[in-house]
Amino acid sequence: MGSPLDFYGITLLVLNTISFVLFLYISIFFTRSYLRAKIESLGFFSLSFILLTLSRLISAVSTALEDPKLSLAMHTLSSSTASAAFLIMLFSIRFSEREEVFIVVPPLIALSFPDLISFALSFVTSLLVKGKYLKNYILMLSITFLLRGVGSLLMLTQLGLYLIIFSEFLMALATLLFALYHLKKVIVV
Amino acid sequence: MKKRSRLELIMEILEAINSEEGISPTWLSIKVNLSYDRVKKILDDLIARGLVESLPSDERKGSAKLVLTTKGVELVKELRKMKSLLRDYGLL
Repeated sequence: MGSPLDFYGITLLVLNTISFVLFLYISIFFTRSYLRAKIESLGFFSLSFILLTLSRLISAVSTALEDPKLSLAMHTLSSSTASAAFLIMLFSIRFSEREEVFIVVPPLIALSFPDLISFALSFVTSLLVKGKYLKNYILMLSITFLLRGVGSLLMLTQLGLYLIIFSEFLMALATLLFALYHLKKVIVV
Repeated sequence: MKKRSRLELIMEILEAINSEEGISPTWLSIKVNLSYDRVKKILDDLIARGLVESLPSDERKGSAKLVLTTKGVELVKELRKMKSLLRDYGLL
């Protein structure tokens, strides 16, 4: 593999940029119609295309990045965003007639981000466990997942990057404490 | 007959008003094959969004005349453009 912008990289960048521009056009088209008529199915549709547009933008950025770790993170984020787009599209095809289904949009987006799923699951676990320290450790882990998830969502901004760096550190610390707690319980009877 | 989605109903109502400017709500409900109450509910919504205008009739006790606003005409054009795509997705 050469530098990220060899012939293959440039081809990917061009293709993703063209797709981004086209998706952006479709998104604007649907959003404008939705804002005019407030027809729910059009709203879902425009949201799907906004997410697909974002996915292509992130993918294009990931192709141009030199840092492999950051590029991989962007690549994963691009997949998550596309997955959220298709989940919403799927939902719009099946249930778009009901106005209240807009409520399900945030959970549908969250479902596509593994960190946010981990946050939800660990948070519920923290509520269910009885041990005071265990509750706090799991809660701490849960918060780090949330921070990383929010960081992923804000990846294209400086704040998103800081959040990911900070949450990685916090997660390493929380995981260590979590493991130590278990070890202590097992060894010290 | 297949149950029409809200999007389909709105498209049919807007198209009907567009093709017959000054149409009455009663005639509109017959034309789109929908109950008057249903049509009235959708029309109220479209009027509130500034897509349709309800003008008083010239005749005494006559029902209102419906016309599309500029915004409504633009929406009809946009919906026509996306019709084929929406049909492909099964939304129409």
